[in-house]
Amino acid sequence: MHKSSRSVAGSTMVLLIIKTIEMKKWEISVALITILLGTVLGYAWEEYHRKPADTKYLPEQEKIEAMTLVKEFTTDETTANRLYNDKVVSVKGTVLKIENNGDVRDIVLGNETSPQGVICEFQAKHKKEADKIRPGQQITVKGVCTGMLLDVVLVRCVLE
Amino acid sequence: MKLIISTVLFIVIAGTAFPQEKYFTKTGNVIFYSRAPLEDIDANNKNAVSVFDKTTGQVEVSMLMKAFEFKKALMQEHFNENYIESDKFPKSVFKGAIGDLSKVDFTKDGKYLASVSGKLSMHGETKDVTAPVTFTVNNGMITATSELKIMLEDYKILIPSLVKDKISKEVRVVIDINYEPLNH
Repeated sequence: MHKSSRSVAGSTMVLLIIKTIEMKKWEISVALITILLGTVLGYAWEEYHRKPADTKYLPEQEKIEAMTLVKEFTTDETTANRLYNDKVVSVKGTVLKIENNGDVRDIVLGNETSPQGVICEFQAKHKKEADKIRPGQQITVKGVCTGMLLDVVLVRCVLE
Repeated sequence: MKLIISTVLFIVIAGTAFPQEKYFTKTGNVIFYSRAPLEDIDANNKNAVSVFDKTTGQVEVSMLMKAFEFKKALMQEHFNENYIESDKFPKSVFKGAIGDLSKVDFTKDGKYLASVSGKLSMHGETKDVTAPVTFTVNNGMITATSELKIMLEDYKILIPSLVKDKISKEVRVVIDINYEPLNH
């Protein structure tokens, strides 16, 4: 009798331990799924609302003189598109013209003898630095290359 | 590319002979809007090139697709990679003419409503388009504003089936150009 009550108590204890372990597993699973889901949703939210990067904080991928860049595009546009488009390009040249275009500034790098140059579009947040630039000045601009129409066009530009 | 340069250079050279007839800009604004249940999308390109001959009414607008700026980076990436395929089709060009040029008095300040018809090439497809255009003449300067609606399927721009019912199939394009006389 004594032996059997002991064995019942022992079995109950074993069952309780198993249940506790099972509960903890379930809780751990819920916690892990919640953390995982939260991380995935957080990343998706962040990614969805990500703004185009400020070029100021992006490393340059190519470095070139303004008129050399123009020459590369006029010589072989397909190759130049492949080499420079979407890349952060650092371009050195002489300021030919400055145009106010609403909330952006277009700084044109080039020379008087060529009808083509490099248009560097400074967005509103970098307008102040663009406003200090003067025609004739030698500057280096970092921007994202988008291709060529009449001129090579760089957007999201900053002064280096 | 060479064709665009040759055309514009020809117009520039011809323009110097008759400076007051031709107008030009390298900073035309083109904005597109797409309104849909999933998300509203708008993007701005401030470097469209345009030439306009006020005598014949001929007009041309060219733009780089990668120069469209979006508020969200992911939208810009999807636009370039999945929809417009800007690596493959880097430019969009409109060539047309003002149909009722006599309605516009370029010698007198004021606002004039006319229409423009022509061919729009985008994403490797060319379609006829007609749109109203408002000319504003102020002290010899000419501003042209136009708005047209584009059906994405006309230009074989495919929307992924997952979001097919949630993204607008129609895009509104607003063109706003401040022309300068070619001799300036």
